Amino acid sequence: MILRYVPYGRATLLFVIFVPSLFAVAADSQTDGAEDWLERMVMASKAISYEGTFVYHAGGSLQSMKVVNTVDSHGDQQRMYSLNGESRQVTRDGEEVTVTDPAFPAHASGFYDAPFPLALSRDFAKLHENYQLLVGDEGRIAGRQTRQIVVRARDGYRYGYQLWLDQETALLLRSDLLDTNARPLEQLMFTNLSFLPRDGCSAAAPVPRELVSSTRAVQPRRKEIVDQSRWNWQIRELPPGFVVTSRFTQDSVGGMDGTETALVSDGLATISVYVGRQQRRDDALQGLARFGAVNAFGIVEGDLQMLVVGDVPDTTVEQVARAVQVNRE
Amino acid sequence: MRRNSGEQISALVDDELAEAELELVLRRLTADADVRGTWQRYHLANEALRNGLSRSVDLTFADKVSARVAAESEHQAPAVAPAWGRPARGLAVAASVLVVFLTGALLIPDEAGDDSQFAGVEATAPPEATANTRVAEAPPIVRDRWQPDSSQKVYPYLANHSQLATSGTFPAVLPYVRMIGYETPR
Repeated sequence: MILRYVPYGRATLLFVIFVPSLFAVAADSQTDGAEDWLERMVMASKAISYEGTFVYHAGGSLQSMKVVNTVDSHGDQQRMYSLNGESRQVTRDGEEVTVTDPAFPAHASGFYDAPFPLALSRDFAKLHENYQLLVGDEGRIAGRQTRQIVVRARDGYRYGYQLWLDQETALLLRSDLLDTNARPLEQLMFTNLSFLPRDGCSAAAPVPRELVSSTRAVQPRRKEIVDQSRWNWQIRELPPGFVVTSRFTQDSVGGMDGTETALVSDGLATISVYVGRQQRRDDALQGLARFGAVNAFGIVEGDLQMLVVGDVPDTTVEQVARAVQVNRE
Repeated sequence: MRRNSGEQISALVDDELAEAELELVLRRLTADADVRGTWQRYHLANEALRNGLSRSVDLTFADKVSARVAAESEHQAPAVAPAWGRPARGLAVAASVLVVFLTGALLIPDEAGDDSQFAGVEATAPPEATANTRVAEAPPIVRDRWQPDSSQKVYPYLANHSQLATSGTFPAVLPYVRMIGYETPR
């Protein structure tokens, strides 16, 4: 009787050994494919000239925007502006970013003068610790064939993404930011897209007239914190998977004097931690607020304001804010 | 060629809408619940036909927008509008979007039921010089004390965060989109 079961036992053994391996191979190939797609996506935005219109939905707001991305021998430039609602524009020329907003001329833009340690295209290993990457189905958006890429958060400290990339170029055509229950918090989708000849697109979309006369300010460069911070603070314990990637000072952000900022990242999501002295006491911000996909949590500690802002769940920004430790002497 | 609203929405979904008509259609889309419903139906039908329905599609998004507009007009307009000095704001197209965003961002409880918001608070006196190292402890979240200018105060931080986030996240375009997308009271 026992011998009669041997074949089944062997079959079972073979099944136990090989089938999971096959699934593992399949999963790896899915993941590897996802990495390739994401890397191509990162490169595409810096290598392809295009213009398009997309719809952006977040926090109950629906807006349409125009984007013009140009790549030439000097680098890549991008201009994006709203087509409805408030007139606002963001331009990026290499490392310089300028926000043009007639209503807020004072805080309008900045340089990026230091690379961040966690550059997506070079650190997929870090990404895998916190997210599962999968290749999804084919689709069609803005008249283009797409491939869906799923970036699934491994825990509740971060959000996930579903991305739809152009099959041919890997440009991002649709992005859904998903909350911890896989419900969309923020959606972006192109409704049309056209590719531009290299070096030949400066006149493709003229700057809206109402933006021409608005103030174009440049924010002071930030300085890396080398030794001791002015406010003598640290972040005691971060949520799993998050690390401090840089700390630096900014002359002023909002109503905060001597703003010191720490950037926290898990390889994908970014959290900004601001610590400084409020110029006016009634400017202090306390508690939790949500702005579309971005949450913010403020704490007032004596005369210091701690403010944590991030595209992460509310519990994560709150945990980071409560982990800020001020050393008073 | 002048087309009716349904044809224009269909053209938008099919990526066949002329550039000249885009602004008008999007304005209608923002202001008119029927048009939003049409857009949603066409879009979903289009997606279902082509790709099968995505599990991530927000089927109730148009309803949520409408509900928030309604909620705003019932509960918030009397208090908010005078404070901003724009009583007729809720009637304007752009302002509708603004109010929807603000109510969504600051006034309406999120889906998890958390209705906490920023509130302006008095900063307390500096702690004594002899205080030792200690962890910043947050006081209880202040509820039902929303002040209209809080979102204006926090906007610079949101914009700054978006700028900083562009170097460390993907899709790299999203932080820029958010910079434009943040609605702010005037």
